Parts: sequence; structure tokens; C-alpha cells
Amino acid sequence: MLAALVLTACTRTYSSTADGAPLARQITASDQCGVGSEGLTYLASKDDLSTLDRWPMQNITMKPLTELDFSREHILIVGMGQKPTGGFGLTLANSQIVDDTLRLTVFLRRPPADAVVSQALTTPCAVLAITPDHWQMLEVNGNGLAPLRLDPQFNR
Amino acid sequence: MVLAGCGIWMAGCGGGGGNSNSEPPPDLSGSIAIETNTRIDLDTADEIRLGLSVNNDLPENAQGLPANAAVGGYLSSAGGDYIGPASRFRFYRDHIDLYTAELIPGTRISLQIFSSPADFLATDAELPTRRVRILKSEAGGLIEATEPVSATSNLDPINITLPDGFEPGSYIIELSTSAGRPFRYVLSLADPTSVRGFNARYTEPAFVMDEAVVRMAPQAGVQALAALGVSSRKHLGDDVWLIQRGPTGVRAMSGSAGAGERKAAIDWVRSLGQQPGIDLAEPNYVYASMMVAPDDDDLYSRQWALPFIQVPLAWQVAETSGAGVGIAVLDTGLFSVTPVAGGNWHPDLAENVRLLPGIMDYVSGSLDIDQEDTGLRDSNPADPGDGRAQSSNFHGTHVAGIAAAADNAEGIVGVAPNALIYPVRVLGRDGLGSGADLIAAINWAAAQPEIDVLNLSLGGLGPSELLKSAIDNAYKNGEGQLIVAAAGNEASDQATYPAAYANVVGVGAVAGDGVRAGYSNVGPSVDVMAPGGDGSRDANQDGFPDVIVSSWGTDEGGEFLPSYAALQGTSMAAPHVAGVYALMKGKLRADGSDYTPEQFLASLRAGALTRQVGPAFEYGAGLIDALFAMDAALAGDLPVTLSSSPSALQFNAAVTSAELVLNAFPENEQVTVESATSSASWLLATIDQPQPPSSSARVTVTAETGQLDAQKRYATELDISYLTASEGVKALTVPVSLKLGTSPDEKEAGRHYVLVISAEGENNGGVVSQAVVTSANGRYTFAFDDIEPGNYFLVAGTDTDNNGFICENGEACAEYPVNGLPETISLGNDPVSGVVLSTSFRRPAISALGLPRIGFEGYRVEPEKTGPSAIREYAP
Repeated sequence: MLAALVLTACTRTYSSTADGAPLARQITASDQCGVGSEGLTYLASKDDLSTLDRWPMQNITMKPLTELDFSREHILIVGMGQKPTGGFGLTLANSQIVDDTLRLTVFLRRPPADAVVSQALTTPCAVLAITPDHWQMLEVNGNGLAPLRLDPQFNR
Repeated sequence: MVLAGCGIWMAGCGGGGGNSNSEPPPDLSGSIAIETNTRIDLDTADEIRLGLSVNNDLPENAQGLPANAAVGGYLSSAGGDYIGPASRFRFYRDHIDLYTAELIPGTRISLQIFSSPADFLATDAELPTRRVRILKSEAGGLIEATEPVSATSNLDPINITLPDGFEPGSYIIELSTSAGRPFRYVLSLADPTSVRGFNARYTEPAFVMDEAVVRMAPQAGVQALAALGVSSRKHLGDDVWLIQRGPTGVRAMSGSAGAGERKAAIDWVRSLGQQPGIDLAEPNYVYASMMVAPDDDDLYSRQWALPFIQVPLAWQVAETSGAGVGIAVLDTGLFSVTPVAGGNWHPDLAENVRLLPGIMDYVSGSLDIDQEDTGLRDSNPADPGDGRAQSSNFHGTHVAGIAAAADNAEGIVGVAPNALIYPVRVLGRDGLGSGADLIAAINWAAAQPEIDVLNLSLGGLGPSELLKSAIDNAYKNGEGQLIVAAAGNEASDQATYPAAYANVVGVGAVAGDGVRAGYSNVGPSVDVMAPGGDGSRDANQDGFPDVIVSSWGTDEGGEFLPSYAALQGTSMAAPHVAGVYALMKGKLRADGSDYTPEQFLASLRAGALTRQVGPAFEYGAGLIDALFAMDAALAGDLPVTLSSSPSALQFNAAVTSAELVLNAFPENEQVTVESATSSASWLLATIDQPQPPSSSARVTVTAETGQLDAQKRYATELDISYLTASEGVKALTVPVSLKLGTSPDEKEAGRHYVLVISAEGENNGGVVSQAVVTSANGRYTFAFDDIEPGNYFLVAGTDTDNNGFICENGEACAEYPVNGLPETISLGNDPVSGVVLSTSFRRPAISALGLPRIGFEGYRVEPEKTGPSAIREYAP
């Protein structure tokens, strides 16, 4: 049973796990994740981490990923896609379970107009540890980000 | 383990080290890395003194050495006591050392020896008699495989190159001495694919006594020379003068002068550099050519961009490889293991990094996330990372590496590996910067005569008049600094600044086939193209995406560690052009003239520096070509040359065949490849040349590995003979190496004495604390406590001959931050951890030192009569 349960009509909303832990937390991020398009990558076990080896130009600090207790949390990588310069990034802002959907909100950073920025291509991403329980679908929203969803048929 | 009474924490001394959670961290701690392939003689005088020596005097206990080993050791025909400054120390008899190694034809074996200073030894102590023998085991015992080589009455090295007919195999190398004084030695092995020799002593290059070449400050005027009291002067062009002191007339070479006179001459040159009106003062060196040896930089094979724009061929022409040319990298700063303190730069860049007095970190306000201050500009251009719990972006480090990473047997090599890097931090939080900070940085750089090129791998600004004015000021009507900038990655024809300014070289990006990368801007921002990469393609079909590999860093858990990364962008293209300019300017300077930004832009616009790869709207003047650029700089005076791509072959169990592409230069020169042969029976080569003869050919090279030993390393050369119409028959040699198996590198440099030396006050130069450390897993770790706040030097090294001094020539040495260029560490009330040094028997080249290090006799170890056994004990 989750600790924070709000009943509004027939909608169930949770903001933390049964033991009070956050539903999602950001464990690292990078400007150079190596994923050229917007999207989500879900890693349910330590073995899945080998997926990242196949991403070209991937520069993600692996320690927080390898040290994760996958029996309690899984990994979700939210990729922003390829950007033309530095100055882009994203940060987890909020997480909720509404009915069967884990809804994550991220804040996207973009370089201000007329800022001086580095001219290497970047592929920013945020690496999140999320609870694997109490949701069937997952959706990520952010300022200026088209909603990203895991396939509803996704078999966890 | 805490050593009572001396206030030193030590790790790796047999008792372990470190601190528990309940103990405060040490005041100063860090580690010392050991250069690859380093070994130590197991019975040095220091080991004999402690009763810890291991016998290596007999064939059955000869020490094993890897290929390209450098081993430091000690020999003496007799035991005795040192005298004078070392009178409390003793030397011991050890007349023979044996080593085993796999040797092949062409292997170079060098024994360099070093004696203690004359006042450490009796006046009748003769110079040592020594001998090197190469022995092979036969049924009846050991036989000599080559003629023994002996020397006496001098300290000259013994050099042996194994002949073509030498049978590859396992041999014993015997070093011995039969008479004379004790000595230190460095034995180095270099197989035929290793171009570079091993320099174990501080270089004392030849120069003309009492002469100096000086560059005057822009407004100083010739009258400033009069104030120096020089006896004669000669104008060498621009603001550069050759001056003499003392009586006029013919001067002696430094080789005929004593050490005291040479040191006095260098001190005079150094003092000149500090005089008002003098920008730079150097000895009047007698020049020899320098050669880049990139193939031992382990990521060189991934640097497709260098051969693609003919940089290796340009190195043959630009012998100085950009030496003395200053490249300012205005970017995110530079990776440092200790970003708060600065220094400890990325090991592939450190040799070339220079700082100048004044502000070099221009990031201010909320964009400034470094920890030296709060939002203020400061003198430390280290990259503090992103300041977030994430993998930080070390963009400036990547850019600097492309332009001028050192040729140092690791990582990558830059376009101009001897050029100097001046890091200037202008990008802060999230890789962002402000126009005001950038303008201030450019204005500062414009006033620095050491800086010749500004690399701006940045953009995003509008057409600011102030920025344009700052750039024009740096450009100085074509007589000042070349400004190179990234053209931008929006695939747009909109002007991007600063690249689109008239006095800026805007650089677009191509992939491995010379085709514009899809993201690279076109139109007014593009003057020229250079490799910037395209991660979505493998256009050159080398098996990897066409990205640019360069230096980088990680800051996982707050620990800053150097690394490498692959990026793409016009940011990566710009430093290729900055590096090419450094090659051109360095060559012309070495020849006694100069090369200006105005000349560069004129040649660029005339198409003399580029290959034509597409329409000007997309490609500007075309793709930069380093060899074309050298040709333009030298006004077409280049010999006919055949180049090979790749320039060397490395085979292993997985790769046993490769194709060489041979191209002639100049391009209209026709060549006929007559033969491609090797003395190694396992190497086969087939020539594929179109008829009639053209400017290119291909050679397929195959290694037949069936009969080869998987544990051995093989090296040979492919000799290619070609006929030119104008210069007859010429030859090209391509080094080939092969190793089917692998073996761990058990590097070991011997017991190290780590000294913290005061750099101020009454105890200036005195040792305030010392530790003795032994290595584990290729590193030493050290930690000091109870050190008062202040400025200190941190050094470490072996005392191979037990004369009480470390870091003498022939002994392993590590100095913070860079060997040969010690700088102080400033300790405050907060602990300083993670200090990283590198130890080696190798000594830096003169190009890294600035001025020669003459008369340096090492560091004296502090006497400790009592205390734990790990601290030195002295002869009674």
C-alpha cells in the first residue's frame, strides 16, 4: 500500500512509495548520452545496462547505475535528442502515479537567446531511478517536450 | 597507518593507509602514476641498504622486461662511503645485472649512465668501465649473440641496434662493471616501430654562449635594448632581435663551457625575460629537427582526421610541430584533477599547457560555478565541471586536445603537438557564457604576446559591435593574432557570430569522406572546412562512426579523472585549423622569419591551403590541408613525397590484413611503386598500381600468423621503393608490428621518497615532511598531515645509488604538476586531496621546459636518525 493516497472521485493519486521513498529520483544526467532522438529507455535489470554500450558517443557516469538496487528501483533514461550546441539539459521536476500511470514531469533547459554556447553537438538526457511497482503505463511531460510514453503493451 | 613523531600518513608501505570515518582527512594526499613499461633493477643501492635486494646476477634469476621497456638501475665494482655532501651515505658492490627480453632485428638497446657529483666521491674515483652483452641460451650454456660493447673513461651511452640478420627470440641482456666509481643507469629498449628515443637526462641543448634571441614588447621600441647593456644587437624581423653581452666577436658554443658558465648564461637569458620591454627571451639555440612519433599514442589509430588532412606529412616539413606558438582556447576551461587549486592538467595536455599572470577565468556572476570565489573572475582556468550531479561536459579540454595534445605515448596527438595551450575560461554553468565575459577575455588575450591564435569553438551571439571591435583589436590588421571560430551546427545559412566577422576564420565541419556534415552551417559563417565528424556515418569505412576523439574528463562522485571522448561539431573542426596555423607559424619562426594572420587569410582566399571539395557557399575555400598549407607557407619549396595511409600497421589476432593507400605530393607528381618488401618472412605485400603511373597506388599487406608464437611481439618494416620523374628512386618505410597475445604491464619504478618542500619563509627549500612509499597496482599513494598552511613543492623519486638525493638524472622522478616544471601547491586550512603526479625515468624535452634545466642535482632527502624503518636510516 502506498503511503500517500489521495482519493478524488474515482482517481487514485500517489506521490511516494509505501515506505515514503520518491516514486522517481534523478541519479545522474549527461550532455553526451549518445541518443540522437527524443525518447525513453527502460532498464529493468543490471544486465540491461549493456544496452548503453551500444550507444555511440555515450558519456554517462555509470557508477550510480551499476550501484542501483534493481529489486527496488528500475532505470528510466529520458533522452532529449540531438541538440546543435551546449546549454541544453533536463531535470526531473515531479513524479506521481495517477490511476495506473506513472506521470513524470521534467524541466527542460535551453540556452537563452544571445548566450555564448559551445558548438559541439550534444545529446542530453536525464537518468532516473523509478519505482517498478503500482503502474502499468508511463508518461513523461515537460516544457516544450511532446509527451513521451512507454508502449502500453510494454511488458515489465 | 599514522607514523607517530613524524606526522606522516603513508599508504603502500606495508602497513596500509587511509583514514577511517572518525579521523580527519590528511592535509595533503594523492597518488603517483608510473609510466607504462617502467621497471626497476631489483638490487639498487637503496634496496641493498635495506636488505631488501633481490639477486638478478644469474641467468636463472634475470629480470624479465617487456618490449619498449625502460629500467632504472645501479652498478658498482666496489663498495665504499660517499664523501662531502653525501658523507653519511654508503654505496655497495653490485657489479652485474641480468635481464631477459624478446629481441628482434632493429631493436635499439641503449644504456645511459649517470655518476654522482664529483664532490660526492674521492678524487681518484675513476669513471666506470662497463659492458653490455646480448646472450642466448644454448645447450652448452650462454653464448654471445652479438659482439660485446664496452666503454670506459667517459659517461657516454652505449647504443646497440640489432642487425637485420639477428634471430628473433628470447635473450639475456647482461650489464656489468669491472672498475671505477658507482653509477646509476637507465636501460631502454625500443623496437623498430618506436621512432622516439628515451631521454633519461635533462636536455642541455647546444646554444651560443652570451647570446639571446628576444622579442620586444609592442610599444617598447629599440631604445629598450639599450637599457639592457648589450654589446651588440641584430634585427631578425618584426620585434625580434639577436643580442650579445660582453665583448663583441665570435661566440663559443655552450658545449665548450663549464656547467657554471652555462648556468650563468641561462640565468642571464632568464633575467632578460623579466626586463621591461622584453616579451620573451630565449637562448640562441643551435637547432636540430624534431619529429612527431604518433604511433605510440594509443588512440592515434582512431584519429582519422589527421591523415585525412595530411597532418602526418606536414609534420615531416614542420619539424618543430608548432613549438613556441601559443594557442589560446577560449572555452569551458581545461580539465584538472584538482580544479579548485588548478594545475594537474589532463596528462595528454599538461606538457603544453601554459598560464600567464592575470585573469584567465573570465566567467562571472551566476554563470560562474567554480569554487575559488563567488561569481568572480580569477586566475585559475581549470574546468570545474557542470556543478550538477551528472557527467560533466569538458568541451574546452576536447578542443585543446585536437589542436595541441602532446606526442607523449598515450591517448591522442594534436595537430600541432608542440604548440602551447593557453586555456581561457569563458563558458560556465551549463556550457553558457556571456558576451561581456567573452569580450573581456579577447581583450586580455589580444595584449598577450605569447598568444598567436585564438580558438573560439563557440557561438550564438548576435552581431555585437563590441565583440567585433575586440576581435579586430586582436587581429591588428593582420599582424596580430589569428582568430578561428566554429561556424555553427544549425545547418543554417544565417550568419553566426563570431565566425561570420571578416577577420575571423569561420570553420565548418566535414565527415570522413570530405562531405559537409549535415548539421554544419553554410553561407557567410564558413571560410573553410575541417574534420568535425558525423556520428551517424562511417563515411571513411574504418569501422567506427566518423567522430572526433580527444581528451575529456570524468567527475564521478566529485573525483576528477582524465579520460577521452568522441564528439562531433564545428567546435571540433575549428581547432584543426588553429593547429595547422601553429604548424605554419612555428616552421617559419624556426627558419628565422614569421607568418602572419594576414598571410594566412590571403592564402586561404586564394585556395592555397585547401582541397576543393564542393561549392563555396557550402564549403568556403574548401577542406583545410596541412601539407598544402606548409607548401604555401614555404612558397612551394616542397620535395616530392609519397605518403602512406595509415602511416603504420598494427596487426593482432583479429586483424591480420590491411591496405595501404599511397599518395604522391605534390598531387600532379607521378610515381611508380617498384617494390614493397620486408625482411620478415611472415609479412606479404601486393602492389596494386594503375597504368600508366599516377599519383596514387595501393598495397595490400598480410601477416601470415600460422607459424608465429602467440606470446611474442614481432616488429618489422615494409620497405616501399618508388620512382619519381624528377628525383629518381626514393624510399618510404612503413613500420609494422604484430602481437597475437597480451601480457599485463607490471610497471614498477622502485621505492619512492615523497617530499613536501617549503616554498617560502625561513625554511624556503627545506623539506617539511617526507614519506617513503612503495607501489601497488602501478601507483603509489601518499598522505601527509600536520602541514601548516603555506606554499610548498611536492616531489617524489628514487634514490637508486643511495647518495641521499632523489630525482637525479637516471632516477625516477615525479614533480607536481609536471616533471621539469615544478610549481607550488598552496595549502590553506582545508585538506587538499587527489593530487596526481606521474613518475618516470624519462625527462621532458626542452620544448616542454621553456628554458634548459642546467645544474639541477636532484632533491636532498631529509635526514631522519630515528623513527620507523620506512624512514631513511643512514650509514653511521
